[in-house]
Amino acid sequence: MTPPDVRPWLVAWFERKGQVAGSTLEEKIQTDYFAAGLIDSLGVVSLIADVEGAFSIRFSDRHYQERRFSTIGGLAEIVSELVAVKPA
Amino acid sequence: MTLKAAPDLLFLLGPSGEWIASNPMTRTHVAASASVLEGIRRTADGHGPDFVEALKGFDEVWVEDRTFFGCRDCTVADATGLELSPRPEARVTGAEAVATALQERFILIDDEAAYRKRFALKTRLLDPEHLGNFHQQMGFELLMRQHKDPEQWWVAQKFEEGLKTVRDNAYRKVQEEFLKRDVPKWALAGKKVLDVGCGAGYYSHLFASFGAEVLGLDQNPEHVSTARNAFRAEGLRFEVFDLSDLESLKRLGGGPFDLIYLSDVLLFYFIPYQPPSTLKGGSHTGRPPVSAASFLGTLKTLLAKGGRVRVLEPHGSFSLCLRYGDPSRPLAVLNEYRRKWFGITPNLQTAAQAFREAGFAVVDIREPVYEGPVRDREDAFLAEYPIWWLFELVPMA
Ligand SMILES: C[S@@+](CC[C@H](N)C(=O)[O-])C[C@H]1O[C@@H](n2cnc3c(N)ncnc32)[C@H](O)[C@@H]1O
Repeated sequence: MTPPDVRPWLVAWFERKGQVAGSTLEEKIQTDYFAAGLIDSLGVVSLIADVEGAFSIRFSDRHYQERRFSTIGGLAEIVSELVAVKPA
Repeated sequence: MTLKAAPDLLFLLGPSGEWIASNPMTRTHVAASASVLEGIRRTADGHGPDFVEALKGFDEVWVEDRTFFGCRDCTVADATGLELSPRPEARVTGAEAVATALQERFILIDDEAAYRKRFALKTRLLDPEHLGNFHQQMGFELLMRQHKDPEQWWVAQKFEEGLKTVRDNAYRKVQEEFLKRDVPKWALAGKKVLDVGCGAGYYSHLFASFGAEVLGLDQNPEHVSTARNAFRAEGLRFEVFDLSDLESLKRLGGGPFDLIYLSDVLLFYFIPYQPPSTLKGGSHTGRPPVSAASFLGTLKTLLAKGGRVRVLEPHGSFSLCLRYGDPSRPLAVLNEYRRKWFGITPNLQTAAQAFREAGFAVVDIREPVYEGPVRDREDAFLAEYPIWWLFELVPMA
């Protein structure tokens, strides 16, 4: 099964939380979702649970250490990498 | 990029005769082959050979991560986070992989100034640059690793299901046992008690069981409803109340009180303000806290004549200090005291200054320890070092 395209999936997830700045997908994925106040710390827990569930992946401490984790685009990259290495 | 030994390392002998390189500042630890220790020694000043180069010629090169978040089961557990049992599944071999593992655990570093800058508060939950204080690391552990709501977890790590008893950890062995010994001497029958930041209300109920009329206040509505459901007694009430709202606190009804009690609450008035988005857990109303002195000064106005305040707080030296050494006679190791970045408690001078500014005299200081049979390393530590202290305060004449 092909996973849903990660970036629009994530943007849609955040748009359920609040307004994501930008008019195009490219602009929207630049958003730093903490700085933009889109989620608080309990929000992160549901974000992780939802993403891990939707893409059948597991984040590790190493991923949380990455700067990329805080932007929608960066998170999409991490998710795509994890999906790519996942055993079929 | 040249790797060198972090400036803060300790080298210990583990219980199975293995070497352990430990960084007490970052609370990170690895067991290592003797060759790795030799490699660290040769690269200690950053001018010797490259670490990977220094390991050439050794057959056996391995490290085993021995780090965990020490308080993952309970906030008052050993925060050192040093795993003493072997963890073969965490073993990494070969010079390159070992170098990476040592860097991740701050045994080797590449830039000392950048390393030092890490010892600071996180600016948000996911802030890889800063290690963050205890509450932030606790929040990270619960949210990111355990996927738990810190507020609910807080009650579960301290109390058994249904709040019948305190769990058999340092909360029971030291805090509750001390109160059970001491509260009967407080002569509470017929007295009015205010339990400030009462949490789930367990100690409010203890005071009521000695015949006091008790009002427990907490900002967290979940805790207050837990308390109301678990504890019903003559003269025992719980209210949701934000204590940092000093104007409302001044007008609090139900007083004046003969005893104002705070346990594990005053510390939040000493910690530099952290915006609620950086963590969730325990202390957050979203409002920058008022100073400990003005908070205590407001409480003073609620005291009856002859009344007193008892403050039971995590100890300024020994709460969260590192624990090393022999299981039967552990060492308490301090890595900070005056300018804490991981620790969350004021030191003695800072606490005393707040009491004085609020117009209180300290009439007693207690340092409770575990007094039961010593069965393990934790018991031995708690029997020797007090991880809480209690101040008894009366208004200055
Ligand atoms: C560590 S718990 C201690 C609870 C209880 N005293 C005990 O020893 O079991 C700290 C409590 O203080 C409360 N608290 C912290 N700041 C507060 C504030 N500004 N107003 C009201 N309650 C507060 C928290 O909601 C939490 O329940």
